[in-house]
Amino acid sequence: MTGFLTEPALTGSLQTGMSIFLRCEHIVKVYGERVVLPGVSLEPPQGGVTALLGASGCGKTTLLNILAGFVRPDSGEVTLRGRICSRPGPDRGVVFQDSALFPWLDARDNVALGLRAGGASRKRAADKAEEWLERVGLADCAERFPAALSGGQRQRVALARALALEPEVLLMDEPFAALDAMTREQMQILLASLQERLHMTVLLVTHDMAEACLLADVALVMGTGRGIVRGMSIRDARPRDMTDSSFAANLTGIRRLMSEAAAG
Amino acid sequence: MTGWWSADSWMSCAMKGCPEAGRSGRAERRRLRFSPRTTVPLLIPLAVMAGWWMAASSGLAPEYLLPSPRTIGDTLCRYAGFTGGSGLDVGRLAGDMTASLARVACGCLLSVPAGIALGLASGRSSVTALLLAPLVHGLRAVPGISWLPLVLLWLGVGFRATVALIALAAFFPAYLNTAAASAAVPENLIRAGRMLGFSGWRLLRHVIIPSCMPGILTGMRMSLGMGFSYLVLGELTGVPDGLGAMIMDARLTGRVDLVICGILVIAGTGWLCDALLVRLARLASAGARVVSN
Repeated sequence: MTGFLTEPALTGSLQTGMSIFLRCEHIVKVYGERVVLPGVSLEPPQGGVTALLGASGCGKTTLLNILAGFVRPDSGEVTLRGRICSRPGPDRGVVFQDSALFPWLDARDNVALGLRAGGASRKRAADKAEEWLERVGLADCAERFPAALSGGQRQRVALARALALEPEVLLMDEPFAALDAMTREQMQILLASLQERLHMTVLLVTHDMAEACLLADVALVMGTGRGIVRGMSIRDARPRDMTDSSFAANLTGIRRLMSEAAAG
Repeated sequence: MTGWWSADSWMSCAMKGCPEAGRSGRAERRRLRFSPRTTVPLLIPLAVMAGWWMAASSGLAPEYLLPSPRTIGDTLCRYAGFTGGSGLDVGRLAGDMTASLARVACGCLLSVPAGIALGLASGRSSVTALLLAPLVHGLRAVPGISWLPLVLLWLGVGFRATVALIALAAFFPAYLNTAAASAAVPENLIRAGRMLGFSGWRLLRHVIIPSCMPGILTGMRMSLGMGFSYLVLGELTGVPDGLGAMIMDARLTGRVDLVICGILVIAGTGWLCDALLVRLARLASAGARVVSN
Protein backbone atom coordinates (compact mmCIF):
# COMPACT_ATOMS: atom_id res chain seq x y z
CA MET A 1 0.00 0.00 0.00
CA THR A 2 2.97 2.31 0.06
CA GLY A 3 3.62 1.67 -3.61
CA PHE A 4 1.24 4.22 -5.03
CA LEU A 5 2.33 6.99 -2.67
CA THR A 6 5.63 7.21 -4.49
CA GLU A 7 3.88 7.05 -7.83
CA PRO A 8 5.02 10.28 -9.53
CA ALA A 9 1.60 10.90 -11.06
CA LEU A 10 -0.15 11.00 -7.71
CA THR A 11 2.42 12.91 -5.69
CA GLY A 12 2.63 15.32 -8.60
CA SER A 13 -1.06 16.06 -8.46
CA LEU A 14 -1.06 16.45 -4.72
CA GLN A 15 1.76 18.93 -4.88
CA THR A 16 0.33 21.18 -7.56
CA GLY A 17 -1.42 23.63 -5.31
CA MET A 18 -4.28 21.47 -4.05
CA SER A 19 -4.22 21.62 -0.27
CA ILE A 20 -5.20 18.63 1.77
CA PHE A 21 -7.95 18.97 4.31
CA LEU A 22 -9.78 15.65 4.54
CA ARG A 23 -7.51 13.02 5.89
CA CYS A 24 -7.97 9.51 7.14
CA GLU A 25 -5.12 7.88 8.94
CA HIS A 26 -4.38 4.19 9.45
CA ILE A 27 -8.00 3.11 9.25
CA VAL A 28 -8.40 -0.51 10.30
CA LYS A 29 -11.68 -2.35 9.97
CA VAL A 30 -12.12 -6.03 10.65
CA TYR A 31 -15.39 -7.91 10.29
CA GLY A 32 -15.09 -11.16 12.23
CA GLU A 33 -12.02 -12.86 10.82
CA ARG A 34 -11.95 -10.81 7.66
CA VAL A 35 -9.68 -7.81 7.46
CA VAL A 36 -11.45 -5.33 5.22
CA LEU A 37 -9.22 -2.31 5.75
CA PRO A 38 -5.70 -3.11 6.97
CA GLY A 39 -4.65 0.41 7.90
CA VAL A 40 -5.66 2.75 5.12
CA SER A 41 -4.48 6.32 4.90
CA LEU A 42 -6.03 8.67 2.41
CA GLU A 43 -5.88 12.38 1.70
CA PRO A 44 -8.24 13.31 -1.10
CA PRO A 45 -7.23 16.59 -2.73
CA GLN A 46 -9.40 19.57 -1.80
CA GLY A 47 -11.56 20.79 -4.63
CA GLY A 48 -10.94 17.67 -6.68
CA VAL A 49 -12.67 14.43 -7.46
CA THR A 50 -11.08 11.30 -6.07
CA ALA A 51 -12.37 8.06 -7.53
CA LEU A 52 -12.07 4.96 -5.40
CA LEU A 53 -12.06 1.87 -7.58
CA GLY A 54 -11.83 -1.80 -6.88
CA ALA A 55 -13.51 -5.15 -7.19
CA SER A 56 -16.72 -5.87 -5.27
CA GLY A 57 -16.01 -6.51 -1.61
CA CYS A 58 -12.63 -4.80 -1.62
CA GLY A 59 -13.72 -2.40 1.13
CA LYS A 60 -14.30 0.78 -0.83
CA THR A 61 -17.84 1.25 0.49
CA THR A 62 -16.66 0.45 4.03
CA LEU A 63 -14.02 3.15 3.68
CA LEU A 64 -16.63 5.64 2.47
CA ASN A 65 -18.96 4.69 5.34
CA ILE A 66 -16.13 5.32 7.78
CA LEU A 67 -15.41 8.71 6.20
CA ALA A 68 -19.12 9.53 6.43
CA GLY A 69 -19.17 8.46 10.08
CA PHE A 70 -21.71 5.68 9.57
CA VAL A 71 -19.25 2.95 10.53
CA ARG A 72 -16.72 3.20 13.31
CA PRO A 73 -13.21 2.04 12.41
CA ASP A 74 -11.51 -0.42 14.74
CA SER A 75 -8.62 1.97 14.84
CA GLY A 76 -7.47 5.08 13.05
CA GLU A 77 -9.32 8.34 12.62
CA VAL A 78 -10.87 10.66 10.09
CA THR A 79 -10.16 14.36 10.34
CA LEU A 80 -11.60 17.26 8.43
CA ARG A 81 -9.53 20.45 8.74
CA GLY A 82 -7.95 18.86 11.79
CA ARG A 83 -11.29 18.14 13.47
CA ILE A 84 -11.95 14.47 14.26
CA CYS A 85 -15.09 13.21 12.54
CA SER A 86 -16.49 10.22 14.36
CA ARG A 87 -20.16 10.85 13.64
CA PRO A 88 -22.09 11.71 10.51
CA GLY A 89 -22.91 15.33 9.92
CA PRO A 90 -23.89 17.85 7.26
CA ASP A 91 -20.23 18.75 6.66
CA ARG A 92 -19.94 15.47 4.74
CA GLY A 93 -22.81 15.09 2.27
CA VAL A 94 -23.54 11.57 1.12
CA VAL A 95 -25.24 10.29 -2.03
CA PHE A 96 -26.28 6.67 -1.65
CA GLN A 97 -26.53 4.10 -4.41
CA ASP A 98 -30.23 3.54 -3.69
CA SER A 99 -30.82 7.31 -3.29
CA ALA A 100 -32.30 6.77 0.22
CA LEU A 101 -34.86 9.52 -0.28
CA PHE A 102 -37.59 9.76 2.33
CA PRO A 103 -40.63 8.22 0.62
CA TRP A 104 -43.11 10.24 2.68
CA LEU A 105 -41.70 13.58 1.50
CA ASP A 106 -41.86 15.13 -1.95
CA ALA A 107 -38.69 16.16 -3.76
CA ARG A 108 -38.67 19.67 -2.31
CA ASP A 109 -39.22 18.47 1.25
CA ASN A 110 -36.52 15.83 0.83
CA VAL A 111 -34.06 18.59 0.00
CA ALA A 112 -35.51 21.03 2.53
CA LEU A 113 -35.42 18.64 5.48
CA GLY A 114 -31.67 18.92 5.89
CA LEU A 115 -31.86 22.70 5.65
CA ARG A 116 -34.58 22.74 8.32
CA ALA A 117 -32.39 20.45 10.43
CA GLY A 118 -29.65 23.05 10.10
CA GLY A 119 -31.99 25.73 11.42
CA ALA A 120 -33.20 27.42 8.24
CA SER A 121 -36.68 28.94 8.30
CA ARG A 122 -39.46 27.22 6.34
CA LYS A 123 -39.42 29.87 3.68
CA ARG A 124 -35.68 29.90 3.28
CA ALA A 125 -35.48 26.08 3.26
CA ALA A 126 -38.16 25.90 0.57
CA ASP A 127 -36.46 28.56 -1.55
CA LYS A 128 -33.06 26.96 -1.28
CA ALA A 129 -34.47 23.51 -1.95
CA GLU A 130 -36.09 24.77 -5.12
CA GLU A 131 -32.89 26.49 -6.14
CA TRP A 132 -30.97 23.24 -5.78
CA LEU A 133 -33.60 21.22 -7.57
CA GLU A 134 -33.30 23.68 -10.42
CA ARG A 135 -29.53 23.27 -10.48
CA VAL A 136 -29.86 19.52 -10.88
CA GLY A 137 -32.48 20.02 -13.59
CA LEU A 138 -35.58 19.10 -11.62
CA ALA A 139 -37.36 22.43 -11.29
CA ASP A 140 -40.62 20.85 -12.47
CA CYS A 141 -40.56 17.90 -10.09
CA ALA A 142 -40.52 19.69 -6.73
CA GLU A 143 -43.88 18.33 -5.67
CA ARG A 144 -43.35 14.78 -6.85
CA PHE A 145 -42.83 12.00 -4.36
CA PRO A 146 -39.84 9.68 -4.82
CA ALA A 147 -42.07 6.85 -6.09
CA ALA A 148 -43.18 9.08 -8.96
CA LEU A 149 -39.60 9.89 -9.99
CA SER A 150 -37.39 7.84 -12.28
CA GLY A 151 -34.15 6.33 -11.01
CA GLY A 152 -32.10 9.16 -12.49
CA GLN A 153 -34.43 11.81 -11.09
CA ARG A 154 -34.21 10.27 -7.65
CA GLN A 155 -30.42 10.42 -7.78
CA ARG A 156 -30.68 14.06 -8.85
CA VAL A 157 -32.83 14.78 -5.80
CA ALA A 158 -30.39 12.86 -3.62
CA LEU A 159 -27.56 14.94 -5.09
CA ALA A 160 -29.50 18.15 -4.47
CA ARG A 161 -30.23 17.05 -0.91
CA ALA A 162 -26.54 16.46 -0.22
CA LEU A 163 -25.35 19.63 -1.98
CA ALA A 164 -27.95 21.83 -0.29
CA LEU A 165 -26.18 21.13 2.99
CA GLU A 166 -23.18 22.91 1.46
CA PRO A 167 -20.93 20.14 2.70
CA GLU A 168 -17.17 20.42 2.74
CA VAL A 169 -16.91 16.98 1.19
CA LEU A 170 -19.30 15.09 -1.04
CA LEU A 171 -19.18 11.33 -0.60
CA MET A 172 -20.79 9.27 -3.35
CA ASP A 173 -21.26 5.54 -3.05
CA GLU A 174 -21.66 4.10 -6.56
CA PRO A 175 -24.29 6.79 -7.17
CA PHE A 176 -24.98 5.89 -10.78
CA ALA A 177 -24.48 2.13 -10.67
CA ALA A 178 -28.18 1.33 -10.57
CA LEU A 179 -29.02 3.55 -13.55
CA ASP A 180 -29.31 2.63 -17.21
CA ALA A 181 -26.44 3.63 -19.50
CA MET A 182 -28.09 6.73 -20.97
CA THR A 183 -29.20 8.08 -17.61
CA ARG A 184 -25.82 7.29 -16.11
CA GLU A 185 -24.11 9.34 -18.78
CA GLN A 186 -26.47 12.28 -18.18
CA MET A 187 -25.76 12.09 -14.46
CA GLN A 188 -22.01 12.02 -15.09
CA ILE A 189 -22.31 15.10 -17.29
CA LEU A 190 -24.40 16.82 -14.59
CA LEU A 191 -21.86 15.99 -11.91
CA ALA A 192 -18.97 17.16 -14.10
CA SER A 193 -20.67 20.48 -14.83
CA LEU A 194 -21.56 21.02 -11.16
CA GLN A 195 -18.00 20.20 -10.25
CA GLU A 196 -16.70 22.75 -12.74
CA ARG A 197 -18.79 25.48 -11.10
CA LEU A 198 -18.55 24.50 -7.46
CA HIS A 199 -15.10 22.91 -7.17
CA MET A 200 -16.37 20.42 -4.65
CA THR A 201 -14.19 17.93 -2.88
CA VAL A 202 -15.69 14.66 -4.00
CA LEU A 203 -14.91 11.09 -3.08
CA LEU A 204 -16.55 8.86 -5.63
CA VAL A 205 -16.75 5.13 -5.00
CA THR A 206 -17.27 3.36 -8.30
CA HIS A 207 -16.47 0.19 -10.14
CA ASP A 208 -16.88 1.89 -13.50
CA MET A 209 -13.43 2.70 -14.92
CA ALA A 210 -14.82 4.99 -17.62
CA GLU A 211 -16.68 6.95 -14.96
CA ALA A 212 -13.44 7.46 -13.08
CA CYS A 213 -11.70 8.64 -16.26
CA LEU A 214 -14.51 11.05 -17.00
CA LEU A 215 -14.84 12.60 -13.55
CA ALA A 216 -11.78 12.03 -11.41
CA ASP A 217 -8.65 14.05 -10.76
CA VAL A 218 -7.18 11.16 -8.84
CA ALA A 219 -8.04 7.50 -9.28
CA LEU A 220 -7.17 5.15 -6.43
CA VAL A 221 -7.49 1.40 -6.71
CA MET A 222 -8.14 -0.84 -3.72
CA GLY A 223 -7.19 -4.49 -3.40
CA THR A 224 -9.34 -6.86 -1.40
CA GLY A 225 -8.19 -6.76 2.21
CA ARG A 226 -5.13 -4.73 1.24
CA GLY A 227 -6.41 -1.18 1.25
CA ILE A 228 -5.36 1.31 -1.42
CA VAL A 229 -2.71 -0.32 -3.56
CA ARG A 230 -2.46 1.76 -6.73
CA GLY A 231 -3.18 5.26 -7.81
CA MET A 232 -2.85 7.71 -10.67
CA SER A 233 -3.78 11.27 -11.35
CA ILE A 234 -5.81 12.35 -14.35
CA ARG A 235 -5.00 15.87 -15.36
CA ASP A 236 -7.00 16.23 -18.54
CA ALA A 237 -8.94 19.46 -18.91
CA ARG A 238 -12.70 19.39 -18.50
CA PRO A 239 -15.15 18.79 -20.04
CA ARG A 240 -13.70 15.46 -20.93
CA ASP A 241 -14.91 13.46 -23.86
CA MET A 242 -14.92 9.72 -24.18
CA THR A 243 -13.71 10.03 -27.76
CA ASP A 244 -10.51 11.87 -26.83
CA SER A 245 -7.31 9.92 -27.30
CA SER A 246 -6.12 10.90 -23.82
CA PHE A 247 -9.33 9.45 -22.40
CA ALA A 248 -8.47 6.10 -23.96
CA ALA A 249 -4.94 6.36 -22.54
CA ASN A 250 -6.28 7.07 -19.05
CA LEU A 251 -8.73 4.22 -19.31
CA THR A 252 -5.90 1.90 -20.28
CA GLY A 253 -3.93 3.20 -17.32
CA ILE A 254 -6.73 2.53 -14.86
CA ARG A 255 -7.33 -0.88 -16.38
CA ARG A 256 -3.67 -1.70 -15.86
CA LEU A 257 -3.84 -0.57 -12.23
CA MET A 258 -6.97 -2.63 -11.66
CA SER A 259 -5.40 -5.78 -13.00
CA GLU A 260 -2.22 -5.11 -11.01
CA ALA A 261 -4.34 -4.65 -7.89
CA ALA A 262 -6.18 -7.87 -8.60
CA ALA A 263 -2.91 -9.71 -9.14
CA GLY A 264 -1.64 -8.47 -5.78
CA MET B 1 -36.75 1.89 -7.20
CA THR B 2 -34.85 -0.58 -5.12
CA GLY B 3 -35.98 -1.50 -1.63
CA TRP B 4 -39.18 -2.80 -0.23
CA TRP B 5 -41.40 0.14 -0.70
CA SER B 6 -42.27 3.03 -2.83
CA ALA B 7 -44.54 5.86 -1.79
CA ASP B 8 -47.36 4.11 -3.62
CA SER B 9 -46.98 0.90 -1.71
CA TRP B 10 -46.31 2.94 1.38
CA MET B 11 -49.60 4.74 1.03
CA SER B 12 -51.58 1.70 -0.02
CA CYS B 13 -50.11 -0.24 2.85
CA ALA B 14 -51.06 2.53 5.24
CA MET B 15 -54.53 2.82 3.83
CA LYS B 16 -55.10 -0.89 3.31
CA GLY B 17 -58.74 -1.81 3.26
CA CYS B 18 -59.88 1.74 3.26
CA PRO B 19 -62.30 2.41 0.41
CA GLU B 20 -60.94 5.93 0.00
CA ALA B 21 -57.39 4.65 -0.49
CA GLY B 22 -55.38 6.58 -3.00
CA ARG B 23 -57.92 9.29 -3.58
CA SER B 24 -56.61 12.74 -3.84
CA GLY B 25 -57.93 16.00 -5.12
CA ARG B 26 -61.45 17.22 -5.34
CA ALA B 27 -61.80 16.50 -9.05
CA GLU B 28 -60.89 12.89 -8.59
CA ARG B 29 -63.27 12.52 -5.71
CA ARG B 30 -66.13 13.79 -7.83
CA ARG B 31 -65.29 11.37 -10.60
CA LEU B 32 -65.20 8.47 -8.14
CA ARG B 33 -68.80 8.85 -7.05
CA PHE B 34 -70.12 6.26 -9.52
CA SER B 35 -66.92 4.35 -10.04
CA PRO B 36 -66.28 0.67 -9.18
CA ARG B 37 -64.53 1.91 -6.06
CA THR B 38 -67.81 2.99 -4.55
CA THR B 39 -70.12 0.36 -6.02
CA VAL B 40 -68.05 -2.84 -5.74
CA PRO B 41 -67.84 -2.82 -1.91
CA LEU B 42 -71.66 -2.83 -1.82
CA LEU B 43 -72.05 -6.01 -3.90
CA ILE B 44 -71.44 -8.62 -1.22
CA PRO B 45 -73.57 -6.96 1.49
CA LEU B 46 -76.40 -6.61 -1.05
CA ALA B 47 -76.07 -10.27 -2.05
CA VAL B 48 -76.12 -11.33 1.62
CA MET B 49 -79.20 -9.16 2.20
CA ALA B 50 -80.92 -10.73 -0.81
CA GLY B 51 -80.09 -14.26 0.35
CA TRP B 52 -81.25 -13.45 3.86
CA TRP B 53 -84.50 -11.97 2.64
CA MET B 54 -85.17 -14.99 0.40
CA ALA B 55 -84.37 -17.46 3.21
CA ALA B 56 -86.73 -15.63 5.56
CA SER B 57 -89.62 -15.14 3.10
CA SER B 58 -89.47 -18.73 1.79
CA GLY B 59 -89.69 -20.11 5.31
CA LEU B 60 -86.30 -21.80 5.01
CA ALA B 61 -85.11 -20.00 8.15
CA PRO B 62 -87.72 -19.84 10.91
CA GLU B 63 -88.31 -16.42 12.46
CA TYR B 64 -87.13 -17.53 15.92
CA LEU B 65 -83.69 -18.50 14.55
CA LEU B 66 -83.16 -15.88 11.90
CA PRO B 67 -85.63 -13.00 11.91
CA SER B 68 -86.37 -11.44 8.52
CA PRO B 69 -84.59 -8.24 7.44
CA ARG B 70 -87.87 -6.43 7.95
CA THR B 71 -88.08 -7.48 11.60
CA ILE B 72 -84.47 -6.45 12.13
CA GLY B 73 -85.17 -3.11 10.49
CA ASP B 74 -88.13 -2.50 12.77
CA THR B 75 -86.17 -3.54 15.84
CA LEU B 76 -83.30 -1.29 14.84
CA CYS B 77 -85.66 1.67 14.45
CA ARG B 78 -87.17 1.01 17.86
CA TYR B 79 -83.74 0.56 19.41
CA ALA B 80 -82.61 3.84 17.93
CA GLY B 81 -85.77 5.51 19.18
CA PHE B 82 -87.11 6.45 15.74
CA THR B 83 -90.33 4.57 16.40
CA GLY B 84 -91.96 4.30 19.78
CA GLY B 85 -93.20 1.20 21.48
CA SER B 86 -92.87 -0.60 24.70
CA GLY B 87 -89.96 -2.67 25.92
CA LEU B 88 -86.65 -2.24 27.59
CA ASP B 89 -84.76 -1.77 24.34
CA VAL B 90 -86.68 1.23 23.00
CA GLY B 91 -84.45 4.27 22.45
CA ARG B 92 -81.41 2.78 24.11
CA LEU B 93 -79.03 3.11 21.14
CA ALA B 94 -77.56 6.55 21.92
CA GLY B 95 -76.87 5.72 25.55
CA ASP B 96 -75.40 2.31 24.78
CA MET B 97 -73.24 3.64 21.99
CA THR B 98 -71.90 6.53 24.06
CA ALA B 99 -71.04 4.22 26.94
CA SER B 100 -69.35 1.69 24.67
CA LEU B 101 -67.41 4.25 22.66
CA ALA B 102 -66.19 5.90 25.85
CA ARG B 103 -64.91 2.52 27.09
CA VAL B 104 -63.16 1.71 23.81
CA ALA B 105 -61.66 5.19 23.64
CA CYS B 106 -60.39 5.09 27.21
CA GLY B 107 -58.97 1.59 26.82
CA CYS B 108 -57.19 2.41 23.57
CA LEU B 109 -55.90 5.75 24.83
CA LEU B 110 -54.49 4.01 27.89
CA SER B 111 -52.52 1.40 26.05
CA VAL B 112 -52.01 2.25 22.37
CA PRO B 113 -49.58 5.15 22.98
CA ALA B 114 -47.63 2.92 25.35
CA GLY B 115 -47.67 0.12 22.78
CA ILE B 116 -46.35 2.45 20.08
CA ALA B 117 -43.65 3.89 22.34
CA LEU B 118 -42.46 0.49 23.55
CA GLY B 119 -42.69 -0.87 20.00
CA LEU B 120 -40.43 1.92 18.73
CA ALA B 121 -38.01 1.29 21.56
CA SER B 122 -37.82 -2.45 21.03
CA GLY B 123 -37.62 -2.14 17.25
CA ARG B 124 -34.64 0.18 17.51
CA SER B 125 -32.87 -1.42 20.45
CA SER B 126 -32.23 -5.14 20.62
CA VAL B 127 -31.70 -4.95 24.39
CA THR B 128 -35.20 -3.54 24.89
CA ALA B 129 -36.60 -6.16 22.52
CA LEU B 130 -34.95 -8.97 24.46
CA LEU B 131 -36.05 -7.45 27.74
CA LEU B 132 -39.69 -7.25 26.69
CA ALA B 133 -39.85 -10.46 24.66
CA PRO B 134 -40.79 -12.99 27.40
CA LEU B 135 -43.34 -10.63 28.94
CA VAL B 136 -44.99 -9.62 25.69
CA HIS B 137 -45.04 -12.98 23.98
CA GLY B 138 -46.11 -14.78 27.13
CA LEU B 139 -48.95 -12.39 27.88
CA ARG B 140 -50.02 -12.33 24.26
CA ALA B 141 -50.63 -16.08 24.34
CA VAL B 142 -53.14 -15.70 27.18
CA PRO B 143 -56.71 -15.46 25.84
CA GLY B 144 -58.52 -12.34 26.97
CA ILE B 145 -61.24 -14.25 28.74
CA SER B 146 -58.67 -15.66 31.17
CA TRP B 147 -58.10 -12.18 32.50
CA LEU B 148 -61.76 -11.72 33.26
CA PRO B 149 -61.79 -13.27 36.78
CA LEU B 150 -58.71 -11.33 37.84
CA VAL B 151 -59.88 -8.07 36.38
CA LEU B 152 -63.30 -8.45 38.00
CA LEU B 153 -61.65 -9.31 41.31
CA TRP B 154 -59.29 -6.37 41.23
CA LEU B 155 -61.46 -3.71 39.62
CA GLY B 156 -65.00 -4.90 40.16
CA VAL B 157 -67.80 -5.07 37.62
CA GLY B 158 -68.20 -1.94 35.55
CA PHE B 159 -66.41 0.76 33.65
CA ARG B 160 -62.93 0.14 35.04
CA ALA B 161 -62.94 -3.62 34.39
CA THR B 162 -64.11 -3.15 30.79
CA VAL B 163 -61.55 -0.43 30.15
CA ALA B 164 -58.79 -2.58 31.64
CA LEU B 165 -59.69 -5.52 29.41
CA ILE B 166 -59.76 -3.30 26.32
CA ALA B 167 -56.46 -1.68 27.28
CA LEU B 168 -54.83 -5.06 27.76
CA ALA B 169 -56.03 -6.36 24.42
CA ALA B 170 -55.33 -3.18 22.46
CA PHE B 171 -51.73 -3.01 23.62
CA PHE B 172 -50.39 -5.98 21.66
CA PRO B 173 -51.29 -5.11 18.07
CA ALA B 174 -49.94 -1.59 18.51
CA TYR B 175 -46.76 -2.88 20.10
CA LEU B 176 -46.07 -5.72 17.68
CA ASN B 177 -46.78 -3.79 14.49
CA THR B 178 -44.76 -0.79 15.60
CA ALA B 179 -41.86 -2.97 16.70
CA ALA B 180 -41.81 -4.81 13.37
CA ALA B 181 -42.03 -1.56 11.40
CA SER B 182 -39.32 0.22 13.37
CA ALA B 183 -36.98 -2.75 13.13
CA ALA B 184 -37.44 -2.67 9.37
CA VAL B 185 -36.57 0.99 8.75
CA PRO B 186 -34.00 0.83 5.92
CA GLU B 187 -30.52 1.45 7.27
CA ASN B 188 -29.76 3.96 4.55
CA LEU B 189 -32.73 6.14 5.55
CA ILE B 190 -31.32 6.34 9.07
CA ARG B 191 -27.90 7.11 7.65
CA ALA B 192 -29.39 9.79 5.42
CA GLY B 193 -31.11 11.30 8.44
CA ARG B 194 -27.89 11.32 10.45
CA MET B 195 -26.04 12.81 7.49
CA LEU B 196 -28.58 15.66 7.45
CA GLY B 197 -27.69 16.33 11.07
CA PHE B 198 -30.42 14.50 12.97
CA SER B 199 -29.73 12.39 16.01
CA GLY B 200 -31.59 11.17 19.07
CA TRP B 201 -35.13 12.46 19.44
CA ARG B 202 -35.02 14.46 16.20
CA LEU B 203 -33.95 11.40 14.22
CA LEU B 204 -36.87 9.51 15.74
CA ARG B 205 -39.32 12.28 14.93
CA HIS B 206 -38.14 13.11 11.41
CA VAL B 207 -36.98 9.75 10.08
CA ILE B 208 -37.92 6.72 12.15
CA ILE B 209 -41.53 7.53 13.04
CA PRO B 210 -42.54 8.68 9.54
CA SER B 211 -40.90 5.59 8.11
CA CYS B 212 -42.87 3.42 10.56
CA MET B 213 -46.18 5.18 9.96
CA PRO B 214 -47.74 2.41 7.83
CA GLY B 215 -46.95 -0.15 10.53
CA ILE B 216 -48.07 2.15 13.33
CA LEU B 217 -51.35 2.84 11.57
CA THR B 218 -51.93 -0.86 10.94
CA GLY B 219 -51.25 -1.50 14.62
CA MET B 220 -53.65 1.25 15.68
CA ARG B 221 -56.38 -0.14 13.45
CA MET B 222 -55.89 -3.65 14.76
CA SER B 223 -55.86 -2.32 18.32
CA LEU B 224 -59.13 -0.55 17.70
CA GLY B 225 -60.59 -3.79 16.35
CA MET B 226 -59.37 -5.68 19.42
CA GLY B 227 -60.87 -2.93 21.54
CA PHE B 228 -64.30 -3.59 20.08
CA SER B 229 -64.04 -7.35 20.57
CA TYR B 230 -62.99 -7.00 24.19
CA LEU B 231 -65.65 -4.35 24.71
CA VAL B 232 -68.35 -6.97 24.32
CA LEU B 233 -66.48 -9.37 26.59
CA GLY B 234 -66.14 -6.68 29.25
CA GLU B 235 -69.77 -5.66 28.97
CA LEU B 236 -71.07 -9.22 29.17
CA THR B 237 -70.15 -9.24 32.84
CA GLY B 238 -73.17 -7.27 33.94
CA VAL B 239 -72.75 -3.58 33.35
CA PRO B 240 -76.06 -1.74 32.95
CA ASP B 241 -75.37 -0.07 29.60
CA GLY B 242 -73.33 -0.51 26.44
CA LEU B 243 -73.74 -2.45 23.22
CA GLY B 244 -72.35 -5.67 24.74
CA ALA B 245 -74.68 -5.36 27.74
CA MET B 246 -77.58 -4.87 25.38
CA ILE B 247 -76.70 -8.06 23.49
CA MET B 248 -76.46 -9.93 26.79
CA ASP B 249 -79.88 -8.60 27.90
CA ALA B 250 -81.34 -9.60 24.54
CA ARG B 251 -79.92 -13.10 24.83
CA LEU B 252 -81.40 -13.55 28.30
CA THR B 253 -84.82 -12.43 27.09
CA GLY B 254 -84.61 -14.55 23.92
CA ARG B 255 -84.65 -11.57 21.56
CA VAL B 256 -82.71 -12.91 18.55
CA ASP B 257 -83.68 -9.83 16.53
CA LEU B 258 -82.11 -7.55 19.12
CA VAL B 259 -78.95 -9.67 19.26
CA ILE B 260 -78.57 -9.28 15.50
CA CYS B 261 -79.25 -5.55 15.81
CA GLY B 262 -76.48 -5.30 18.38
CA ILE B 263 -74.07 -7.14 16.11
CA LEU B 264 -74.94 -4.88 13.19
CA VAL B 265 -74.50 -1.75 15.28
CA ILE B 266 -71.10 -2.91 16.55
CA ALA B 267 -70.02 -3.81 13.02
CA GLY B 268 -71.09 -0.40 11.72
CA THR B 269 -69.53 1.48 14.62
CA GLY B 270 -66.27 -0.44 14.34
CA TRP B 271 -66.12 0.19 10.62
CA LEU B 272 -66.85 3.90 11.05
CA CYS B 273 -64.22 4.27 13.76
CA ASP B 274 -61.68 2.53 11.55
CA ALA B 275 -62.47 4.80 8.61
CA LEU B 276 -62.24 7.81 10.93
CA LEU B 277 -58.85 6.67 12.21
CA VAL B 278 -57.52 6.29 8.68
CA ARG B 279 -58.88 9.71 7.76
CA LEU B 280 -57.27 11.28 10.82
CA ALA B 281 -53.95 9.58 10.10
CA ARG B 282 -54.02 10.90 6.57
CA LEU B 283 -54.79 14.42 7.76
CA ALA B 284 -51.96 14.18 10.27
CA SER B 285 -49.47 13.05 7.65
CA ALA B 286 -50.62 15.76 5.25
CA GLY B 287 -50.14 18.30 8.03
CA ALA B 288 -46.62 17.10 8.80
CA ARG B 289 -44.99 18.75 5.83
CA VAL B 290 -41.49 20.12 6.07
CA VAL B 291 -42.22 23.30 4.18
CA SER B 292 -45.60 24.73 3.33
CA ASN B 293 -46.65 25.20 -0.27
